[in-house]
Amino acid sequence: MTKTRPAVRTTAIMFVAVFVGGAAGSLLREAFSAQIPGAPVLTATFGINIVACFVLGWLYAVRNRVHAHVLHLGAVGFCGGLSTFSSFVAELERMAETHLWSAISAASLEIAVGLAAAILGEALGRRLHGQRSAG
Amino acid sequence: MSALFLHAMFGLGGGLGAVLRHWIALRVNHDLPFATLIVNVLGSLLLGLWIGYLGGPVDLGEEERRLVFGFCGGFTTFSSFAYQSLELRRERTIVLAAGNILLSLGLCWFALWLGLVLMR
Repeated sequence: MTKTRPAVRTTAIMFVAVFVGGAAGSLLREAFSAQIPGAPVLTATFGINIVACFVLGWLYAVRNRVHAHVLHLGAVGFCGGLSTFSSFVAELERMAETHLWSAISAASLEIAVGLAAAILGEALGRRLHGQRSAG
Repeated sequence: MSALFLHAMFGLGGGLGAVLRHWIALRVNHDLPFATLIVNVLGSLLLGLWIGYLGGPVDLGEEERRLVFGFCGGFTTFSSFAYQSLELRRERTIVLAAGNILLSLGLCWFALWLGLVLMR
């Protein structure tokens, strides 16, 4: 019994960290989206997803230096809660109803910029914290 | 209904979504990022169903709407998808990375569309 307690506590802290990070990320996204129900704005989700990619890249650059719970809070919780794939495709679908090729272009652009933001975040994180990540 | 309560519902949904996503990620312990693909497809399907459902004659409070919208956003993730695609390119092959991108986009878009059509 006493042996399992630290593991149980670590798991509990991990999920609390993910929950708190996810809730905080979601609220920040909500604050930046002008309208949420039914009528998503492309630019809001676009920008938010890009910021989340940047932050996640940065966090992964320093992942060997920080406690695992920091990653649970920041990477899994916050970045995951801040970014969204479901609203991303919902906006594409809305665009595609009238302009299919605009939607496909927007999808390509958002993914390309998201990848670039993650690379940039990781590179800056490595440079500023003077460490090359093992990954 | 106070605005604070509605925000709390959105945050609660997002937090629960993140917890479920992480739980699935721990369960689906695979070399390839299948866990992210699964949550993104399921979350997109749920959002499609929800938007479709709300498009009909429903009598639902704003708090239920917010809870599910929050959940879908917290459950699905764009940042992990992007980072894992980069890792695939770096550690495996560019074909796998491109496959992950095309598969995620295609399946999630289809899942959302399917949700909308099912509720029509």
